[in-house]
Amino acid sequence: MKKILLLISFSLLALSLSACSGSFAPTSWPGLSIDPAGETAFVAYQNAVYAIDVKNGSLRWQYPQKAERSRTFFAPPAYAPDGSLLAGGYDKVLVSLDPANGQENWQFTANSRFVGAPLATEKAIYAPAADGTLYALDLTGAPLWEAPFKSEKALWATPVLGIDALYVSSLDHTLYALNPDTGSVLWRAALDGALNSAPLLHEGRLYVGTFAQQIVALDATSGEILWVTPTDGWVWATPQLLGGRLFVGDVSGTFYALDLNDGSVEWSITPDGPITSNAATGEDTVYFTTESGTLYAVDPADGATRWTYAVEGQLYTAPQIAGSNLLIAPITKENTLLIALDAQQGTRRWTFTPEKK
Amino acid sequence: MWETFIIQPMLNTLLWIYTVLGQNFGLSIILFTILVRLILYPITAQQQKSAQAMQDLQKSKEWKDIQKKFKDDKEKLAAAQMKLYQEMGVSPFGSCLPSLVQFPIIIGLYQAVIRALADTPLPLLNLSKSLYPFIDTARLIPLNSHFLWMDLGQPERLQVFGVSIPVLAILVVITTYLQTKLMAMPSTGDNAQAAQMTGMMNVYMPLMLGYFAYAYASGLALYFVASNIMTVVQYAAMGKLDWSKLRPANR
Repeated sequence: MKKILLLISFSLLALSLSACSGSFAPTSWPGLSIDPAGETAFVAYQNAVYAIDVKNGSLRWQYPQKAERSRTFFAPPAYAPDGSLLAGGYDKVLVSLDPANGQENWQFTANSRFVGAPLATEKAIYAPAADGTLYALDLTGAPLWEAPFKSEKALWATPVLGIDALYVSSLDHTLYALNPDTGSVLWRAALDGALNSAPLLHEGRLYVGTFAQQIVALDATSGEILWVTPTDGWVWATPQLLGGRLFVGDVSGTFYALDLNDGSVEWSITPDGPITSNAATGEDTVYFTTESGTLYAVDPADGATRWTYAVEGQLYTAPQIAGSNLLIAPITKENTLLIALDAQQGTRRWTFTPEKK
Repeated sequence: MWETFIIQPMLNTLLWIYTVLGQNFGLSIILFTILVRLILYPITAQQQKSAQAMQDLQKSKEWKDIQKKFKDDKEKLAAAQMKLYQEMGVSPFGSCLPSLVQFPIIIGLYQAVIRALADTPLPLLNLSKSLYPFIDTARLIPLNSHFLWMDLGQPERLQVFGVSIPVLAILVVITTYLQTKLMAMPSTGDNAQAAQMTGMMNVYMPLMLGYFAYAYASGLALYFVASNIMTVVQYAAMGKLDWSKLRPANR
């Protein structure tokens, strides 16, 4: 009897530890991006990157063609000016693909996983890695800097390129301005909390959210803090600009419209759950998603809800506008990866669910 | 329920200790283990008492008599043993159940360690929902997961001349073996089953925990080592430690 009890206990313990090690559960949400023509959507989720026709939701290609358990992708694929597509994986590999057919151009292997998307410019690719390293590569994947820039903690956010500086958010509570040609630090701004999202650069100012429950505006030349607006929870998203207002949500579930100049709260609303992603701004509508699975379309003037669309699952990924379509990438039990809605009405046009292989 | 009463209190206690100890997560796990062992002390003492009572019972004349009387009838022997347990006020599982109490603590601690050391977006988002208001999250997150040569969120290996050695897993096997040997009650001469059970525990327990330490986050292995040492210290304080059990003759 005691033998059986002991055996059962050990089995339960092993099972419990395995289950909570996270090896079976996704560790992030889908990464979504659109090509510059607005014709193809790219979704990176778990073991593959999918290219989906925005017109009808059909699959154009997937990479790798046969999903590999050892390779996982969550960072939004980035479209490079040379017409290639860059996808960073949790397998520490940054791969350049032909966006027409998903064929591989080259690979670069880093020392750590890629959680955030790279930034691709005419001259360079800047790829942030989870060990705090920022790699600068040329468009063939060869390193450009003598030594990569290293932050003390992970880099999860896509860098932002200014006129003569590269801005990098770090989980080490610091916003860095780097020389884009050498990686040397121009200035650093120590903030009160971790930064996991990119800053918004607009007219010489940077706007960034932090885990210290605040939105911070800084001078892009010097890093001087211009104003700080407190929020109710951690800010995971980059503030978005429309009509002189900044729009951003926090994980406590509050969505804010701030005055661009002084950061004062013009209005705030409390939707049905935490907000982790950037808002999308249309001509006269702001769209954002909640963890509870609801997409909100609100009036930028006062936050009045125009329409909502709910999914049976969670919405962590930033919505994307592609022509008259609004694309959302949920996490659902049915594994529906992409839903296209009419951006004006909020009615569903098509869905994409990858075939089980 | 599990989340509210096990994970969150453990997680927040760990993070509070982490703050007090100058953001050293390894020391936080060790101190947390000491606290847990102190809280479990009444159960440990009860376990010891039950084991002693069982030992005394199995040495008694009544016990030996029923073994002889019903040696060919297992059902009657079991019924007579149960009756004797009741008469003497001894629970046959009294020394076993306290050990099982540790299992939810091990699982809870592991989940708390893994959650605290979140290094990808979804786990970090979950962590943000589990924190009590008194924890200064802005300053703490992300946690420093490095302790000595280890990343406490990953299985531990020490690189020595290009060879990966699982030092902590080896320490878990050694300390668990020592603890099991030192804690084991001497089995009565005529109880072969108990002796077999003890022997099995001495082998399987260190190997099983050693495997967990090898395969899972090193924060758990650190808990095993600290817990084993703390248990030995507790038994020594209770005056129950007998180093002679480690001699080969006692194997």
